[in-house]
Amino acid sequence: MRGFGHDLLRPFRCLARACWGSFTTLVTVLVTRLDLLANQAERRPAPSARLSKVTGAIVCAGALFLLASCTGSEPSSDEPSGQPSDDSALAARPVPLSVTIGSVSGRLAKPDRVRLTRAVGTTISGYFDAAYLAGDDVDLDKAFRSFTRGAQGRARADRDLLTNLDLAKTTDQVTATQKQAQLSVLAPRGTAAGVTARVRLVYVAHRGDKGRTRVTTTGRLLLTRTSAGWRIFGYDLARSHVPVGKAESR
Amino acid sequence: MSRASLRDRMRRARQLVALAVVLAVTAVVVPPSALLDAPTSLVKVESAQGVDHEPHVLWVLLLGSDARPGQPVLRSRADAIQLVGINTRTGAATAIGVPRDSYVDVPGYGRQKVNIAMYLGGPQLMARAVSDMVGITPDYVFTTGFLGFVAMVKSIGGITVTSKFAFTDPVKPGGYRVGKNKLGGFEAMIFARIRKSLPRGDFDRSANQQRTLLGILNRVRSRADQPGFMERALLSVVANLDTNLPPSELFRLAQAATGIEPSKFRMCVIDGGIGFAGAASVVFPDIAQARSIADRARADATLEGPC
Repeated sequence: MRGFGHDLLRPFRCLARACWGSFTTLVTVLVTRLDLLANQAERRPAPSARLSKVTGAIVCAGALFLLASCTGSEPSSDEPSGQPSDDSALAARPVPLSVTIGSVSGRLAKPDRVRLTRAVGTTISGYFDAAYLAGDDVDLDKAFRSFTRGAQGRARADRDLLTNLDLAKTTDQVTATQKQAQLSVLAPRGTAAGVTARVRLVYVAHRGDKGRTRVTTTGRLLLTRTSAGWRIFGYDLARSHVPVGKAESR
Repeated sequence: MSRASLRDRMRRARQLVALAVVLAVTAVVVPPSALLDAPTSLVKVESAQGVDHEPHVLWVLLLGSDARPGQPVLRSRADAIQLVGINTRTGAATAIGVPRDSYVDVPGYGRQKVNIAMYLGGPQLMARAVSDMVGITPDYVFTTGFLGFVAMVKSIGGITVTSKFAFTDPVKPGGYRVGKNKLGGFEAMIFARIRKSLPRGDFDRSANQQRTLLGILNRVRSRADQPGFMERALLSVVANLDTNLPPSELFRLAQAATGIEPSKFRMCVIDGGIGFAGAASVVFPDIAQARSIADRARADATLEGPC
């Protein structure tokens, strides 16, 4: 049944993508039509209104058709793999890490905050990219390069959680959908001495026959400044993964 | 049933049919979202924690100065003396409480009460005296005064301690009861200092100091996830604790210390007999017991068996 719906909808989907900007208009139309139906149920309708209700229902159905097409942006499983898909387009536009300062305990001038955000962002981004978003190629040396020496040893022991290693062998491609870090900064003497970064990384691992898996990693990274720049000396991370896109994984 | 009523029912039925058609079409044609989750809310979550601190076993001497307002914190007597070992890999810790009136050799000054070492030579001499007595040299010495301690407890929002004894003090109108007590900064300070209301005086006070440390540990661990909590607490520590550690090192040490598991936190107070040295009431500490604890816990901050 779902396959039928997908094939039938492909032309509409294209149309819906083209008119994505009018998404809200469609919703408005839909809500208005349903509202009208409800109001008319309260009044005694004139004979001509019956026709209007049938028209309304058809408009609603049409709108839902288009909306449904808009949400179904994934290619179906029988789409030739050589053709560019939405996912590959997504992969071509890497999601940047969003870094914000949540709190500063102490004092830190605005330019220093900007510098800190950039430096810590580079460290965390480097870790995420090498550890989780490198697809089937997870190089542990590279993954934990932004860790302190002692933390590297501990991280290697926890590599199945701290990298995408357990899925890497069956992963063709990785698409990041969320990369966030909120920083709590300790700056007792006008200089940042330590940072706790609350992080959230969400990505989809495309795993061929095994379908797709959405992986979410959240938790804390503890950073301190070393002679080599900001380094991760501690972590408290949790990871979960769920299959996504049932149609594709059948 | 009148014709009008029948017509009305028919009309409603048609409306319902129309809505049902819309919903049915929706159910059929709406494809799954591109990132639709599996139809289950049961998701296995795995976690990993680790904090790098070398050496991974460290010993810290915690000193509470009895300096009154206007007196130098680092050149007064030490009211609280706790030597605490931390194993940052296993989460184990051992606290060795030294009774304040322990009568021991203070390097360069002969036999004295151990707490006078800080008055005579600051935290450094105090560390040497404790080291000679117990047999473990601390890696770090932290000293705070009354007000600093109160401020630090306040900065983490108070603590809960489990008291072995009930006793009263004007600072806490309801008194301290056996079992759990929620304490603010001043109340915690009194709990850690009071001696005369306790059956074994100096020994029980030292045990209460350890219960206070455990209360702090529990509080910090329960709040460490809150954004900014650790940083605010550490800002208070930097302001109220004397240490030669730079803030970045303190940050690392504190984060490592939150890895201590309360169930692995062993607490022992060095026992001894009470007597007099001249006119002064002193404690003659059980050095053999102190050395035995040290020998068993030195390497990994883990104490098996009795105190």
